[in-house]
Amino acid sequence: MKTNILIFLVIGLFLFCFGFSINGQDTQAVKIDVKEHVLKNGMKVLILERHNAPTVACYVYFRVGSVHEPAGQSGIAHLLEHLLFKGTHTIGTTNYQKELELTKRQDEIMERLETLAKLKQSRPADKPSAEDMEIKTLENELKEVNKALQSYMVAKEYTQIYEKNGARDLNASTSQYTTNYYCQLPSNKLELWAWLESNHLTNPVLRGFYEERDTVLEERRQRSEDNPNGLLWEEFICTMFKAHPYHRPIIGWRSDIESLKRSQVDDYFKRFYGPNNAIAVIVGDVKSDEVIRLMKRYFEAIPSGTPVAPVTTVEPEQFGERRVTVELESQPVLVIGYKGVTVGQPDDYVFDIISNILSDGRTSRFYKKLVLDKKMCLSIDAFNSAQKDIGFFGVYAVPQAPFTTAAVEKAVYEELELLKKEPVSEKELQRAKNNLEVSFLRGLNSNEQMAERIGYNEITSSWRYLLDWLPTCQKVTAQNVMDTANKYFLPTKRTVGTIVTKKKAEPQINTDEHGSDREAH
Amino acid sequence: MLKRMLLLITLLAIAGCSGTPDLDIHKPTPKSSKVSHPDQLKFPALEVKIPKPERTVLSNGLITFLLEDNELPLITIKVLIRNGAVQDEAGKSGTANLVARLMRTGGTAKYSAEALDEKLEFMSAELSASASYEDMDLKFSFLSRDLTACLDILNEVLFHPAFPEDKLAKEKSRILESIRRQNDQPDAIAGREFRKLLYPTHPFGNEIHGTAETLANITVEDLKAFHQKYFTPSNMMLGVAGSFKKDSMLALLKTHFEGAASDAPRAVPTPRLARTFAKSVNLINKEVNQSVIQFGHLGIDRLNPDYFKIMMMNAILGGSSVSRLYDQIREQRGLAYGVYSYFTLSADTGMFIVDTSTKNESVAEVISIILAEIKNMQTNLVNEEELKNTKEGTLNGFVFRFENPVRVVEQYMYIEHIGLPDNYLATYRDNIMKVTREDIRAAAQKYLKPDDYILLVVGDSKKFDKPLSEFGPVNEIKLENPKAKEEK
Repeated sequence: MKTNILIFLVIGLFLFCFGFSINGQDTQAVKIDVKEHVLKNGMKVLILERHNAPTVACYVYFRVGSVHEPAGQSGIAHLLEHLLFKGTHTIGTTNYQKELELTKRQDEIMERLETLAKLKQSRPADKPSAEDMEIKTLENELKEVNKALQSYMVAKEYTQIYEKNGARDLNASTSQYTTNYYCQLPSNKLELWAWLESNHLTNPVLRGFYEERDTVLEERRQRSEDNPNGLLWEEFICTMFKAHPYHRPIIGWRSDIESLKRSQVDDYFKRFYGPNNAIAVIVGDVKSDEVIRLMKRYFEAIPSGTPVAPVTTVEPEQFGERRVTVELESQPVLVIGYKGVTVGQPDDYVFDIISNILSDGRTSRFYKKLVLDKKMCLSIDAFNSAQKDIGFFGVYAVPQAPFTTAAVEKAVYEELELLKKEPVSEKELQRAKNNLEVSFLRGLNSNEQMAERIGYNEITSSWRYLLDWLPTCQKVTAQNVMDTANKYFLPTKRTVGTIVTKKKAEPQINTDEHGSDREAH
Repeated sequence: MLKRMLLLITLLAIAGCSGTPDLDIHKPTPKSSKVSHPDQLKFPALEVKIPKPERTVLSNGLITFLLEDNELPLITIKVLIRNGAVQDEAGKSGTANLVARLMRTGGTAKYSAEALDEKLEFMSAELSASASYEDMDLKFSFLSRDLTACLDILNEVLFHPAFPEDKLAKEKSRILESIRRQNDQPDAIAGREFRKLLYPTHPFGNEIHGTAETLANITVEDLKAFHQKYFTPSNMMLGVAGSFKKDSMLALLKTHFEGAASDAPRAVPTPRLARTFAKSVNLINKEVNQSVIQFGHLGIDRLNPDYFKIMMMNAILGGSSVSRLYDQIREQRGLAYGVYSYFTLSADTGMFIVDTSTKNESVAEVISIILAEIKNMQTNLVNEEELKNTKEGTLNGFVFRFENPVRVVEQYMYIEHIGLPDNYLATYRDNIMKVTREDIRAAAQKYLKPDDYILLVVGDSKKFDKPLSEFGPVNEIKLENPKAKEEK
């Protein structure tokens, strides 16, 4: 086994080093020196100093995501994420009091209109109904209310303040267990971030609610409904998890999004967005002491809320293979998942090695055999999607004609069986370990990537997972790989999803018996 | 630091008067220490050093840029080849792309494709090559301890690629599969068809990866000829960033690359676009919930003297998430998830395009807003505040261009490649500051064409709020079923 990467570890209180002995001549230590501080209200602050350029990445992770959504309100975590860009009592308005009154009336009208629309639906469509008059009056009033509201709203002010101060990548994302808000700033502007985000936590205003709900519906059309891969993914996940809230798409079901109310989103914010559920991750050209001082000044007085309760639903045992197909005007795609792997458990590290052996690079097993030699796939990826409660190991394949998803599926199983029966070679194992090590190293040169790694790991287990990850992967043996393969690669853990090509309905020869209403999904 | 403390104390004093005395500056309550609006915050000055790579021209004309950065034991090499897919011969579009793919996947005189893969991947080195319209590039990232081995590989790949017959067939069959899949995503259809409409006779209208017909025409000899013509030292730039010592790196580059003789003249210029297009309104019917809208016309080339005015104008119109189009279409009306306008920047005339997606039922409404906002830019002066914010945002964010050493090197290579002045970065600030409201309106009048455009909608026309014919006679495009031939 030939490698001249020498790893040494110095794990101090918050210090992690690893070094490369470059041909035995030069040793360079790379540190991950995260400072951790907890404010009195429970808000955690994680800081990593990097002084390469005068910039800083600022992230706030909340310990809440789509799995915490109340029944019938799927998508609420994500809608709130959107609405938090609309400002506060002071940012985003020219007169908050006036806006508040109008907003109340807007909600009343919208609610009444929704009720009337449902009533009207139950009447014969071709005759004027009793509701018509009221609907017309309310719609006219709504126009006036909306117009008045627009005159007080400065919808883009919050974003504008960041933008004019040179912010980059201002955005947010929602996932199963976390919602995070982030941007990068010139490092002298850190206080701006502290001002805006503490203001945000204290008195956000969910203005422009209905417009943003429509925007999210457009996002849903773009990501899932009109995107074959997005739709396949939604159906696949929903088939794999029956009881656990992972079942629900993060963006939400269409009908749930359409019926979300401002008051519900407000409740959700109040219930979950206490500073004790928040983690600030600051990476870049800053001094830790100053960051902590700033955090105390801006965030410490915000009262804590109730902690987020853990998900109690446990995904029940699976009794056989599950399959789902989506018929679309699209070429075939295949996705396979084996359920069970949890973040931080020994199997998690083994799956990082397995996915690398199977599909990282042109010499990996899947790529070499299925893409290069047999020309069965345009692309094929194995990935470890370990999660907090229960995750899965997946394979995503794009077949190359004339091979079908069935043929690719069979070839994938043959490779997985091989992992069960024969130990992987030392060389393959070492190549995988080298890859993991270098990709870890590559991620260290970006504020953004480091902030994401720290924040994500803190949410799923602890940021210290970052320190243990590489050394633990290095210890994985060929026997571990075989044992894990035997434990997981079973039909009773498997879910298979495919895109099946639907023939385009030609108006003159109508042979399409499946209909074309894709919103039915 | 001292300045910051003084500021804090001043602020505390003011807050103190309003009844929240708190003199401990290390533990003040938020109420006592905060200004009422972030615009009142004062920030310490930011020291921005613009890193400058060392530029050296080797004896054979190869231009090199070196920038040391010793944070991590990694090196990245970027090679820019100053011609691209525009040089594909008629009927052989896809040649440059195949050259790039085969350089990575086809092996070299010394190493078979398989040996090259093994060597690179055991070192966990990443090598990629790609072709765009006007240039091609190679990117190579590896551990600094593998420098010598990787320079040897790079020299082989750049100057001695093998272009074997069987690997060419393999790459073609992969591209054909992509072509077979080209109508799966509505946005991909729109992007491709819009280019075709805008550039009916110029190579910018071709797909970089070619078509089933053109791929069939391309032989190994074509790849070799293309390589021989354009992969010459005087037609390349090579940038290195990472952990090394400049002097020894330069010596190594000379050893490895000075041997490649240069006999060809540098860079055949991109053919200039001769004609303008005719206005047209185009429709591709597809059963989708959301339509993709592309609106635009010919734009500018990268050396346009009005560049800064045009960039500021576009930023206000649709270049960011605080732009007018974004505000009107997304924030005020919830009609789209994203809407952006941009000028593509190329040596030859690029395009101006507004790109968005909205539900079928609001297609005409969105198009009308786009037209109205463009006309507004031409008729009225932008307000002072808008222009001031746009300038500040651009200048405050300028520092991010120099955050990553690889990006720094890439920028210097680009500036020289495209022919921007040497003091481009040094004068950037002044050039932005000079732009006036009148300049913006004049740029809108000159470079935006709300009466002479190409409009393309991919969507379900029977659900549109108004027929597309509101905007002009509609040309319906039927998508060909991509029946890519099977490879034998």
